[in-house]
Amino acid sequence: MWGYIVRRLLTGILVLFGVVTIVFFSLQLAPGDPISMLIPAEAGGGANPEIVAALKAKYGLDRPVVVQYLIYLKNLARLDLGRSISTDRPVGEALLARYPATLELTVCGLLVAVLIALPVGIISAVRQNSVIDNISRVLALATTSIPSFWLGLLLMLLFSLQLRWLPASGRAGALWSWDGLKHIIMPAVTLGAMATGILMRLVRSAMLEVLRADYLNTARAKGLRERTVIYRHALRNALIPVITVLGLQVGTLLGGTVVIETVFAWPGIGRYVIWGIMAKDFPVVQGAVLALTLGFVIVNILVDVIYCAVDPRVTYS
Amino acid sequence: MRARSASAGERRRESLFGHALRRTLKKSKLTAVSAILTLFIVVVAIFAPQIAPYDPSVGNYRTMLRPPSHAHLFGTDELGRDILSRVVYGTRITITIGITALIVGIVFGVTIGLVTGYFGGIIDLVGMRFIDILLSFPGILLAILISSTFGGGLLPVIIAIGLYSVPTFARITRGSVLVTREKGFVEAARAIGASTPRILVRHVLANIQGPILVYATLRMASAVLTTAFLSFLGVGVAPPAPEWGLMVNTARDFMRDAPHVILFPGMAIFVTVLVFNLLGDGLRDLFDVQQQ
Repeated sequence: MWGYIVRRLLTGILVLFGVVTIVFFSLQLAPGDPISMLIPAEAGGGANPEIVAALKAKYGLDRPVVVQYLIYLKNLARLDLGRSISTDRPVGEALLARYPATLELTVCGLLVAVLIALPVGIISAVRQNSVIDNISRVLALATTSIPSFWLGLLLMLLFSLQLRWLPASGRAGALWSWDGLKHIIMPAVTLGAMATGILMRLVRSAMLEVLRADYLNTARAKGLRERTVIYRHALRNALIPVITVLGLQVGTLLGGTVVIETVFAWPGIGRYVIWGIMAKDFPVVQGAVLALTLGFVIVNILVDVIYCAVDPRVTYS
Repeated sequence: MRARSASAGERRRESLFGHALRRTLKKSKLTAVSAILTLFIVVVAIFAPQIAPYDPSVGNYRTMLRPPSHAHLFGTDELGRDILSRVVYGTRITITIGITALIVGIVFGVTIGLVTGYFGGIIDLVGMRFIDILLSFPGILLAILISSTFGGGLLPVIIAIGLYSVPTFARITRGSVLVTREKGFVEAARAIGASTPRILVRHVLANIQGPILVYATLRMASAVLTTAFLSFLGVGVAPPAPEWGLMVNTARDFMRDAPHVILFPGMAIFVTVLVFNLLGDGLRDLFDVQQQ
């Protein structure tokens, strides 16, 4: 098992290396450079060439791209993500300050998705073709089709501007405080909706598959209550494929934070990426994309390990 | 994924759509309705100038932010432009981006899938690792990066969404090829001396068009969503184009006093994505494609 985990970690590192490389060179291709975004052109002419040259030298932007890339990798190996060109503050520091917000949002979003998808999916499967089943299928289709930024704005329109129940944007204090909770409800629901539909469908189809299995008849034949049969025998087995997709959905949610954080002015990494892209702040974009991908890679390794642990038929290979 | 026999594949190729449509109408009304709605969306895109009651780009400061009325069914936006006309023209942008991006995704994805699946070995290993890396990006992030790399606008969005679909098509194709490759008819074709490209295109590809069609429809739904996401975030289609996501973004500051400004463009995205998802689901049942 340890060998397997080490192998998965190595693949994870390879993936991150690939991501860093792709992001680095695609940013180089982008039109416009960070320095000219930073200093506005003087009246009647361009920016002062001496200042531009000095700034370029300071951030190493005057060197050949390949050298810049190697320097970036070298610094990365020492966990140094460089300095933001627009704010001149270390990117790593900014990311650490924003990580809790994004983590909180992603976890709450995932929680919303699971809390809706699991019970509805189970009931849907147990009462196949009932009214509840049909409603849940419509709900699943609707949540996968609705643009999340629009859903977010609609919620904001209803609960903040009309009813004045919830604050429209921002993050306030700890999650367990009343104010903090009120702030995260709408962003979490909007983000969670992105994964709810897919998860609901999967729980339903996995349950349907398991419900046909012979061992459930055995369980019933030995006189177990239907409740025990469904929750202890069927659900446990149905959850195995659900775990894998849950891991993949974390990726969707991490990507989704970019949109949701923009809509609700949530001070996390997603919003930081967009800000970095707008300012052509290369180190910021690099660092933020790396941070989000790292989260995704870690979750997927965890999922694979858990997967092997819960399903003895899967071997570590 | 179940592959069909060669003769069935040959027969189906001649009347793929006619046959599919007939069976759809018989089997599932919902799929038939979504097929008709898809057609409607395409018609709106093609005949936008004839359908739109006003010029989508001409504003009028005397009719700013008017709620829906007889003169303006969807109301007017912050510059006094008719929202219905903008939504109608927006269909063009969305469908154009969706279809071209899909073509990019299918051409590259299917080629990678065919080559890696058929030849296997080191080619397969390298190709699939590359696909794994692409897949390990949170998808939307990849699209944002590519689109902003090429400076925003129509073409960058197409490239972004196209590349973003490459891994999906590559995987489906590779999976199908691995199954099909071992079939008797491929061996037979090789035995009579057919060249590798011919086998790949005429025998292998011809037998996996069902799954590709199904996934293309589902991908169309996600392409429409991603286009809207990119424009909403400001890294997609540039203003003043009547792109739906962009319309929601520029109008959101006014939604407090005039909720209709975000309601209709958002609804257009929602309905279009819903229609393609419904159609994709229906086609999946029809072609009996198992979800991967």
